[in-house]
Amino acid sequence: MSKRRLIASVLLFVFCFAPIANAAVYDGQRVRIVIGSTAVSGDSYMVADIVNRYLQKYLNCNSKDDPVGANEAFATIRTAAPDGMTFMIFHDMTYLGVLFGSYGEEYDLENMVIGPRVGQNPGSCFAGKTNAPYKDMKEMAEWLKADPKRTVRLSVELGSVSNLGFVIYYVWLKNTYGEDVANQMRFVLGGSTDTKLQQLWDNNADVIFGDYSSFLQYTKEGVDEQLALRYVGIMDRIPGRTDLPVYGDMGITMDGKPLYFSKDFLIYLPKGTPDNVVAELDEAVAKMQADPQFQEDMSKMTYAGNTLSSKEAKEFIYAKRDAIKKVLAEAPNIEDLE
Amino acid sequence: MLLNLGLALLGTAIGIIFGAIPGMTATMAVAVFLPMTYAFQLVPALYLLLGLYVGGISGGLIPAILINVPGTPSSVCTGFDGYPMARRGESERALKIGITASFFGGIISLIVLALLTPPLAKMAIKFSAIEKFLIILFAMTVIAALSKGSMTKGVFSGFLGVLLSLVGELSMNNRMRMVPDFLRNELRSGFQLLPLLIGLFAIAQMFQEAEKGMQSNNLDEGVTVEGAKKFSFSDFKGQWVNVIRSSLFGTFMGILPGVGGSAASLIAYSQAKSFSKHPELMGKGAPEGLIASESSNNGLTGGALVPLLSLGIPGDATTAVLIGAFLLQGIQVGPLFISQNPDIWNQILWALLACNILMFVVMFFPIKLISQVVKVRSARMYPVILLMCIVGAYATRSGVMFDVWCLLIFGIVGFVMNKIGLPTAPFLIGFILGGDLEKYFIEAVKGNNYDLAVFFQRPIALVIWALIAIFLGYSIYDNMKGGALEKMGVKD
Repeated sequence: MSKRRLIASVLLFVFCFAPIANAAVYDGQRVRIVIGSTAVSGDSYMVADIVNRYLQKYLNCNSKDDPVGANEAFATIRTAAPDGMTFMIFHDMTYLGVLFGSYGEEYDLENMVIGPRVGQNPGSCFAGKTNAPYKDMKEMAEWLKADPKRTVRLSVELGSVSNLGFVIYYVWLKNTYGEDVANQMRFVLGGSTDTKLQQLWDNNADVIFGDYSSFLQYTKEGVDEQLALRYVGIMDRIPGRTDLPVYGDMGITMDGKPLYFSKDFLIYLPKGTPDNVVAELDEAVAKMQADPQFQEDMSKMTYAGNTLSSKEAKEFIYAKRDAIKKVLAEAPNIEDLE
Repeated sequence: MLLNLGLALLGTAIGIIFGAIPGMTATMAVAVFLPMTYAFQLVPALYLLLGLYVGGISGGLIPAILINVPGTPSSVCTGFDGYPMARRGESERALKIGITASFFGGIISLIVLALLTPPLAKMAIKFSAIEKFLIILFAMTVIAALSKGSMTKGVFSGFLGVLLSLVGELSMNNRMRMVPDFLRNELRSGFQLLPLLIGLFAIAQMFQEAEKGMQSNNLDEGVTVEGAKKFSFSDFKGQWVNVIRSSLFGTFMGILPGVGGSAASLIAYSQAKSFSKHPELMGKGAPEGLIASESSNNGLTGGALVPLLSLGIPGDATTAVLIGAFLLQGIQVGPLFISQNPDIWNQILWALLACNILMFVVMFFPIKLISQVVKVRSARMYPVILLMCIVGAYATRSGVMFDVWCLLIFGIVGFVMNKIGLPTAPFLIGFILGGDLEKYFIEAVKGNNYDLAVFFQRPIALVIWALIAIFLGYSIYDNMKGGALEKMGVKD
């Protein structure tokens, strides 16, 4: 083959196949987004649904939310083809489930591909009755310290962000007020938000864990006293609300630093997903972040549209997991505090 | 307004299709359409979603009556009398009775919703885990009513169902129970209701038919549709107390969050049997059983909206999905919802009325055609049913193949149970109610320092105990009387 012919052949090859090599992976494709919760009224679904609408726009794909629950979502990410057409949007429970022992190590972050962060929810919180003898979790600590016979029953779910909220408070109590005061906390197993509300109304719990927006209506003027709630501890600052008892502002710390914890919602893909797929998601998420309508949709629900690229998100979530692992080493098994 | 009505009609029609396909439910229908409602305002979205809800609950009666497969868990009791009627050639009559009873159930619950929401919501939160446990226990007494003549077998089968419902992860401590290691992932959330239900009824029946040699169709020998009794509104003569009682049972069960539609129809059915002048005909094609089941499960629709709109707590699985529609529009449902949103509240009532009327119209008039299914040759119909069942089982958890295997395995289990004379209905009831029974039992005793006396200390609890005792006593007496008559050679 002459040199000229060889060059011509190479040029022809490049000309013919370049469009395929550069073709968008998601363009016109059907995409399944599994969500680690079955509740369509919870933050997992709401964030995923908002993000889904913008991914459809910027990836030009036909994507569908599938709120299958944590168990099914994790199993799906382990077994789905690594082509990017199935991915999960979920929050910190992805690694907390493994740290708390609810899920096996086969579901570890190392066995998934970390995609970009798509949003945050700062509203994880504890709420109690308005007639409780404490206004916030700082006062609760003082109230417990004043009488060793007093107890506070906190309703949380095992292996979840609420479990973490409990543990962080326990460790802080132990380090600040002593182990005896910390052991005056009682763990009550909760469930969905409505189950926890009923536990509070039935007097089977004193404080329940939930989401800021889910509890909001119960904290307003005019609500019947039996139903009324008060926020006693919010894990991060809510934009526009300076009157709330935020963990870090109350002096509650984790690893010696004031704690501000938001739930981080990331895209998780099956192990082996090619880099070009993740790069395309990064690009779409960056466009989404710059879209003012996306920011408005997120803030309307009291969520934050703070995104990170997959590389930044991976470093961030690994560091977050390591910090939490350290705290868990100091905490007792929550079930021993029943 | 026309757009709203159009959406309600669309929702109702699609809901009926979801309800009529075994394995598809009203909850699935609402969940599938929920993301699409983001493009609408809240009111049109509610017309569509409430249409799906009412249609989905109502559509379940079609397969329950025509092929003895409850389309939804809340139509479990519909087939007890509906299917024998269809075999007698009265499929059109049975379907029309069911549709009319569903309509009345929906309207009665709507009246309760419109007039009594605030006081009922206050009452609902007085029902703690203790009372809910007892209500579930009360619903389980229907096992005794269904086991006439073989109470030991019926109760044993019911307990087997309860045992099976406990397989999986115990949410109290996230630990697995009765799960072999190699099925940890598949059985983490236990066996799924729909594959079990469809397997036990539809697949087992197909095996049975295959063993006998496929009949030409599902009609009893020598029966023709043409010669069968036709529907008339006089079928409801003497049934008004049953309609109102069953609808109110359904509404009341809907008001109590966490007590599902299946429990509502089971309690209504067993009460209809207790108050019936001819209890011996129940389960053999008595319209009153069909009326009780259908008016109670549609009664649930209005009832489940009471706690949703006044407490922010969904009354059943479908209303739990409906909350999403409000949140997508940035509206919180809770104790201030009705006072802060009177216009939306009124629209919800109008939408529910429209959906119930549309459900009646959409189902009642074309049902003559649908009822002809009983005449279709079984050799043609069974492959279609089998395909629908497999699709339904596969869709239960959005594509888990294990659920399809469960469908087939429970088909074999049902076939074997029928062979050895173990009734399958109590097994299913035990399975449906077992999980809630355990959940509320644990919650009740945990909240009261593990003291079992809590079940006997509250006035409402004592009333429910009295009802359980009366009903069980009656069932045992009825069973013994039946046994004695049988010994004397007297048949029902």
